[in-house]
Amino acid sequence: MDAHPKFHEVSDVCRQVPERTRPLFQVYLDIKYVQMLKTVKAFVLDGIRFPVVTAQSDSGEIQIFAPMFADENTDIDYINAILEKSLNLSTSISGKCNREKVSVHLAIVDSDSTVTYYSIDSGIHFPAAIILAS
Amino acid sequence: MPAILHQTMQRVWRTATLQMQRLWYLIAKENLLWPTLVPIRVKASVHIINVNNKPVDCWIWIREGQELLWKDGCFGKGILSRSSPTWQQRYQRETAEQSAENKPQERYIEDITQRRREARRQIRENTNEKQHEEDITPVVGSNNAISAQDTMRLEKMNDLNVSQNEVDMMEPVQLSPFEALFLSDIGCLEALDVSHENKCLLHTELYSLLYTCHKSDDFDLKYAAYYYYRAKGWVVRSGLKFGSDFLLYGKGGPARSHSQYSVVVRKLEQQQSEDTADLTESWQHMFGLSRVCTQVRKSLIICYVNSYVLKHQDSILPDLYQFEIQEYLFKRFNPNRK
Repeated sequence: MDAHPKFHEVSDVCRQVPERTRPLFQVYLDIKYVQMLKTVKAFVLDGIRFPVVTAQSDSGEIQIFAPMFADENTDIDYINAILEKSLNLSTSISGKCNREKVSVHLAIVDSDSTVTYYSIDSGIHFPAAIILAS
Repeated sequence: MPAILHQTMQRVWRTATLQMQRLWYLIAKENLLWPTLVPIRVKASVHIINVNNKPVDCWIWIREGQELLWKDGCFGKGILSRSSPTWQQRYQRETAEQSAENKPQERYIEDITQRRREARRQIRENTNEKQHEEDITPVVGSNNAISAQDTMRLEKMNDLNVSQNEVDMMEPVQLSPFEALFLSDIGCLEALDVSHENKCLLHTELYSLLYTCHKSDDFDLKYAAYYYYRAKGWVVRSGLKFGSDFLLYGKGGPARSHSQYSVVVRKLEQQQSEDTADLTESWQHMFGLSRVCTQVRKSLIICYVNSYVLKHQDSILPDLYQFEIQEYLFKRFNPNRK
């Protein structure tokens, strides 16, 4: 990894969570140099020691990407913790709590560097009321 | 072979240029599978992450010989591209100091995908505008809309701040564990451990390392399935995006055509009292997989792998001839449809 010219941009975070170096660096490269989103940075979520990559879309929305291994087992409590901590992180980044402008995504990284993104949210809304024609 | 002669041959081979290697390979090339009569070995760097002195993750990169590996067998994936490594060419194309008309028009898979997405976005915008009964401009595929996207992409590329020295190093080719094991097994890969002064890993050591770093217990089954389909002549790639283990492409790989089959690898459990095997998937799960594959015009193959090998340690390289494979093709059928 040190042989890559851009590894120094995430080396501090990788040092804190070395076991997630590969998915973190791959997602960082993909978001910054392939998807070309703005203000791409890496952070470690407090309390759960999980690295995430944050970026800003053209519309100003803060997007948070949680790198995961493709072959790791998922745990609903872990996903909940990632979601909650990510939303708290977005507040500290933007300085305001506007959850409509924040989206959290899982970035699943395969062993051949393929990255697949999924959006996660805390649930669905109630169905809209149906207005019957009189 | 005498050791001195072997060392001399190695020294001669190392000094040969890549072009000479390619020439010799083209002369001997006949089929999709490696090796050929010419002993071509590509060097790969193995990067290992250790926690508490135990390997927890590793990946395999190749920086030289990428073209050879891709051209014949479609091995590896550029870490910044969809398949073959094209990021450097696309970056240099976009940031070249030329007018838009004079820029080279060579198209890559990423460009085709980008055009297709922009056209679909344009269709959606036009459809929404029609529903709201507003004036519609522009039409799908118009040069004005697409050139605006090109300008935006150029601006974003210029903001990446990649120096000329760094461009060459930005995109190594990454091999999946199964690709690396396959190439190592047929003698075409030299895996060098970066953390131990480029020590060359034996095939058994490489298997042990990759098995240890794998996070599920079906590594040997997937390796057997991968080897099985490669030996049949298929180009085997990751099926992560479609919820399967592998995708099978014909000769030419992803650059030539879409994959025809999506493969899911499962362990065939043998019951002790009977000969019949216990299929461990529910039909609901199978039909869900099949539906996903049908939507993307692929056929689902369930590949059941059974191993008769009794291993004391799971990380020991298994004998592939001890694996039994049964494969089934699942396709949804509607009796009313003619």
